[in-house]
Amino acid sequence: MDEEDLADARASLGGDGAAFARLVGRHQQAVAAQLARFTRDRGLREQLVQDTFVEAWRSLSGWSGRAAFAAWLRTIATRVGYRFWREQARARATQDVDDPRLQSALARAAGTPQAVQPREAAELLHALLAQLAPRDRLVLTLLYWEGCSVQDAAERTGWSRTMVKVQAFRARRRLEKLLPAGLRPEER
Amino acid sequence: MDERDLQRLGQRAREERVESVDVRGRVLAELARARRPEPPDRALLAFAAASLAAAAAMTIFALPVFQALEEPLAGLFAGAGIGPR
Repeated sequence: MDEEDLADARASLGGDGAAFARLVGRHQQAVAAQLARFTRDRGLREQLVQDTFVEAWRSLSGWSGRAAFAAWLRTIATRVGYRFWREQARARATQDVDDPRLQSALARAAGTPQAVQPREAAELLHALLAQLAPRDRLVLTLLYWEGCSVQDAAERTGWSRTMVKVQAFRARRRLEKLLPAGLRPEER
Repeated sequence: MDERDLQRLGQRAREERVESVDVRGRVLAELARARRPEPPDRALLAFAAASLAAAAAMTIFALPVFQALEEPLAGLFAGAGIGPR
């Protein structure tokens, strides 16, 4: 796939739209899966996927080909998703963690996440992390939802490894304070 | 809910299957739109043309006045075939 990506990226730089469409076709599903962590709304997610590829096209000449195209694209998608959160931060309408349905799912998931369906787990994690400021939300999404290593998270965000660890520690503390009583670590 | 719970919940959430998307057409349309040159702003063009016409008229009027101020005797010597200097 890397060879194909390289060939199509070069052709795209030469103005070949079909080559860029092939790149989009190969990677759009992975980008959509990543951006599902940034929004649960399908329409918005498609818009963010589109924005990611438009941004990728604009900075295609900056892709050296040394790193995998997919990895380069993930960094762009992270930036697009984070920018979306920041824009939404003021007017964000999030599910309240005091919502009884959410509390029940949280209680079932605590300790035994297999008790909830993957979609429910995703909804839960999204609702929980949406309570946080964009920086906190980003670091926890990358580390716990995407399963990134500290190094990966540092590369995606452009932060240092130390910064990622510090930000994650603080974000976890802030998240714990937002949890309903009974689900906070010290109360279990 | 502690860090391990968060890790387990994340792991479970990663198993979610996201609906398939196809944005190829939309991306290409957006790129085509971005490549297309912007149509000229008619109002701006009209303002620029009016400004240019006004500037040209002012130049035509001001040039003889400027010359007369700079060389007040030029008119006197114009018919004699010799300059003031």
